Amino acid sequence: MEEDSGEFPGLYSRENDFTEEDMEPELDEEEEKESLKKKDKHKKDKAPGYVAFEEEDSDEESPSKGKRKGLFRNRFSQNSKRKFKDKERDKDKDKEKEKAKEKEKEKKEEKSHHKEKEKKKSSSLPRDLTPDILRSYSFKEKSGRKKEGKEKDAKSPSQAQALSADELSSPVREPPQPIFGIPLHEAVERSKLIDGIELPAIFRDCLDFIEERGLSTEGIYRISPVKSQVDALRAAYDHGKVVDLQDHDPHTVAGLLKTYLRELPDPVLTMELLPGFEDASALPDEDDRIAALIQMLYQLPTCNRLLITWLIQHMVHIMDREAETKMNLQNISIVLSPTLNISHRVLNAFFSHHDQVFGDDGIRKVGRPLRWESSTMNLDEIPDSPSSIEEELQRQEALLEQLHSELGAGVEDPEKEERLWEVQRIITQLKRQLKRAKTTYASSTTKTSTKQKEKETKHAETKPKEKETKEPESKPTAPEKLAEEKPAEKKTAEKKPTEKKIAEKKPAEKTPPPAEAVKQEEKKTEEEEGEKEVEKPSEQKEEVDGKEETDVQVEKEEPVAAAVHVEAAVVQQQEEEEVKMEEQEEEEEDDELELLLEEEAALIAEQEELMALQTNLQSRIEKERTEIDQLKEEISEATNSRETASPPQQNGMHSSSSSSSSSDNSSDSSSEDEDELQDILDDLVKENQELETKNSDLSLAIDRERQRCVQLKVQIRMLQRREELGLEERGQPVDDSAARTTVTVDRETTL
Amino acid sequence: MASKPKPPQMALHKVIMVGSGGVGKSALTLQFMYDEFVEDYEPTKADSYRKKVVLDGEEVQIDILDTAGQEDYAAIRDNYFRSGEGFLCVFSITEQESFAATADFREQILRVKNDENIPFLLVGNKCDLFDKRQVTIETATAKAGEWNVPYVETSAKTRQNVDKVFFDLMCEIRDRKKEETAKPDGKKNKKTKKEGKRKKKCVIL
Repeated sequence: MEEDSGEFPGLYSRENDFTEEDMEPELDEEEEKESLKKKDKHKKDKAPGYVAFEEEDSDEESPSKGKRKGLFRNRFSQNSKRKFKDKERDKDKDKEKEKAKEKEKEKKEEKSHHKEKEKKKSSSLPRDLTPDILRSYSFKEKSGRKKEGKEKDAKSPSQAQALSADELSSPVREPPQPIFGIPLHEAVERSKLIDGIELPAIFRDCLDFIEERGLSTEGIYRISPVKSQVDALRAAYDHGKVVDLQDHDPHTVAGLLKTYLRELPDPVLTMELLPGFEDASALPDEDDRIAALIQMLYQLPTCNRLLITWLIQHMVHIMDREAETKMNLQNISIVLSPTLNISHRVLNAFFSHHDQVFGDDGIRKVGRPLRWESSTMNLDEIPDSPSSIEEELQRQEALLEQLHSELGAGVEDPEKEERLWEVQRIITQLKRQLKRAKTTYASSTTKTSTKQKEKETKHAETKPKEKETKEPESKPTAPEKLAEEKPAEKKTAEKKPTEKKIAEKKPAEKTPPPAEAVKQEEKKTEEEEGEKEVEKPSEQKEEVDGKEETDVQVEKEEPVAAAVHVEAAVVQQQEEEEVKMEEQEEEEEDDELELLLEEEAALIAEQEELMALQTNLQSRIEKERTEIDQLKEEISEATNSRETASPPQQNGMHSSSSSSSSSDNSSDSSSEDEDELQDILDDLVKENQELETKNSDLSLAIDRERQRCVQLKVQIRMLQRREELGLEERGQPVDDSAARTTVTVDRETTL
Repeated sequence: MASKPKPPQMALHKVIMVGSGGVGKSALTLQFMYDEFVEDYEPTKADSYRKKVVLDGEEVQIDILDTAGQEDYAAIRDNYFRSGEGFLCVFSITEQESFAATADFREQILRVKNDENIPFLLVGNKCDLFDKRQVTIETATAKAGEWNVPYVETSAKTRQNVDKVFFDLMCEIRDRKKEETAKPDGKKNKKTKKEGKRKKKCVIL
């Protein structure tokens, strides 16, 4: 007891090693440095006990020893020992080990004595102050000034904003939500990452970083980091800043992680269960040992179990690279034992049976928020699937909130303000994307029944005509929102004239898919939908054709047809890709059957849209082929009518077009020189090439628009389905997408 | 204090849209950004956009922050105000209250920026709805004169003056930055400032 009280009280409470000598002189200094102490405490000890202490303290401005005593009592038994060990270790590893042993002994033997010890310790606290002060980091000092603010925060985080005035005065705010030194489960609550795994962000960050960058670093976890860097990172975490480890040295990150683990108020294996682990790892029989360890492991809280599991696996990775890291079992144990407050025996048992004990509950990397550091955003980086967008959105919004709370507290930090705009920008784009995706993804609860409804709706609404299809196209018959009606109306309005045109000019267009369609898999498509989609593009194409005809007298049909072909192929490919992608997404979210079903519906809708589109395109190809044939006939006629001396024709399409054009001129030019004819021919060929380029550009544009159309149609369908289901909640997205549809349609019309 | 390191060398001007709810801040922004006109009313919390534009032959970037009109989001608004370099204070000519509210917004901005001459445009939106006009051009112009800022009427629906307000503001911001680099003490007397503004107005095509 005596020994313990002598060593522990001061040591634990201070987190530093001191000697007995320090006690006396420090008592005098204590009052002077109370504030500093407070800072330290705040920083490191956010254990429940500490919180209680803070509250007391906040009631009274000046901290008293009695309060401190209370604090120590609360946290002493569990936390102070560990901290003490850890800190000492830094300075003197040998001492650490001894102390660790002592601590363990204490834990086992002396729980009943804790109170007594605590009292003793508390009385001896003052002596510890000096080392703390000496060691105190700049940020600690700053935080110390702000202690009052901190305390308030600790009491009620919601008050944090109210404190802003207070905090403005200080260059560095108090950590409103420190991460270091608080119980693991609290840290998890505060900072668990988006994937919901019950581990604090700092642990995940460090592990991910070292797994990625530190596995071949010699002496990782052993070599001391640059302290100032660790402190800066630590302060960043405690202040809830956005921490980017990427620029740091692996040793720094390893040091940060060790610091964090060391300052956990309760050891990872918990004070209660530590003896159990000791006993388990002492079992002589290997199988018994493993079984006992596993059994012990599952008595731990989830976050503790995960942490030790991941950590051991991580260390195994490092040991697997011993050639590079120079870290073997022994080295790792030396490093980890004091940090985790786990004896070498237990660590040994963990490591030697890590496969059996920890299984494959493996380390998982987490998705980090996107960055758009440099100026313009890159839309490519935005994920495609609604679920991943939402995930990213959550990450970004968490970031945004952090930034706001920091800036709101009065920190003037241009970098952060810049970051705020950046994050906001990403969020804005994500939201836009999400709206787009969501309508496709849909939120309808049912699948088939909905489809049926849609079909009915569609039939009722759409002009009766053409081949029937199973796909529900959505011209809203049912009671719709205004916003929905608008696009629909527009479409219909557009459709009519187009249809007329098509009927007049291109009767072939409505014919069923030509046999040549190799890519076509399913022909059950809704003609209407397809038509709508194709109509606009087809108009454009007609325009193109018209232009060509006027510009050159011979129309080069082949390229157009080819382009159409290509487009069809492209569309098909894209469709397949989309389907694949979305299927993957589906697999990822097995748990949400409903969503899957919705998605399926959306996919089917999309597929059908695309098929319809393809059908249309193919019929157009057919038609254009026919035209080509006609033109070829004309050409051959013209050629025949010309003298035998007609210039050698060029290959393929060009030849036909050029020759046909020359044939048009043939009546005038037949008597002219072949040279002249050749010139004309060359000119025409050039012209032709230019037009082809133009044509392909336009085709691409058309293709793009067409894809958009498909998307929009699918969106509309899903919206209608949703509406039919009476899902009112989605009202806004519905409106929005509908409005956007309108816009797009308008744009297309102008095209 | 507000202007940040610019990502590339390209100048970056930070514009903030303020004004009551439903006056068309987002509509103006989206029209400017994407040539979209969104009719449905969906309150904005905050949105931010970046676009490359050519300002008097110089390629620059504009960051637009579209804020919430509702007071509920006033807290986060301040965070943005600090970093804003220019402000479009929007009201709806069909809504008297929104016009009255512009004074509050201006006050808030001045409080945060602490600068009377911060680039600022008073924008009367929805001028296509002239038959529902509640705020006369004279009233608005008088208010703008009082503040020494330009007044422009826009329609996010017809795109009337949409580019103009953004470009005018960017010109002011740019000129302001030039002045500040010339004279570190950014505060000029109003007359100089105003004349500068008027004369350097950019031409919108």
